[in-house]
Amino acid sequence: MATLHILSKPTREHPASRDCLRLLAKGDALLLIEDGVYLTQRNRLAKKSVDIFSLQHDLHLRGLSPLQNHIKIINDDEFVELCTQYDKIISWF
Amino acid sequence: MTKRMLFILRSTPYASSKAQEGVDAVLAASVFDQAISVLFMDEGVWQLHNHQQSLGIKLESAQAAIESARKSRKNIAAQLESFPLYDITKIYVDRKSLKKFSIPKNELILKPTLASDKVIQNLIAENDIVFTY
Repeated sequence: MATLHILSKPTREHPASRDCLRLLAKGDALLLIEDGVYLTQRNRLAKKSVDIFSLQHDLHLRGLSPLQNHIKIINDDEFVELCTQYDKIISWF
Repeated sequence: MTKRMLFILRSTPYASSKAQEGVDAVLAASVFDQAISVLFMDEGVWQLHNHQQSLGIKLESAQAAIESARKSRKNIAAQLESFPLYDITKIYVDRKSLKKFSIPKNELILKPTLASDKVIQNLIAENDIVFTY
């Protein structure tokens, strides 16, 4: 029963980010959207067992490319597809 | 069809309408006989703090009533205390959030269950839908 966690805050220190990152479970996925894409500039965001995705449009807008190559960049269509692949979705904002 | 629903309430009670929206959503779901769990997290733990004063004043005119409605918000704690009447009894509070704001357990209404990270992960796993407010 895996969960997709959607995070939209720019720092690890933000309460929403903290709560999200500490509750990621094995097999879960983390999707960074809006200002959350700034977290792609950080090392070691989550355990290796968690897949990390980031929205292409939000990265492009902010002039960013992920520091780590295991972060997958997805477009809006893939965003929709991703949402269908997990049992539930939690938005952290 | 009954779904297991987890509501994660993370907002302070009066600064925005988010807390009220969360309470409304919980009560609406309960009317449809859904299996509900409620988890208070981060700043949302302040919703459970006791001795909240409802801002209602004695009304002397229609004008005063309008003014009052504009200024006052419904007492969130009073609404939460109605949860058991709606058979909403699975109420949890994040242990770390209580610690963060130095709130002792005896200052909380509803006698919530203290939840560790592990318990919260299980809550997320065992529910069909998770809502955050």
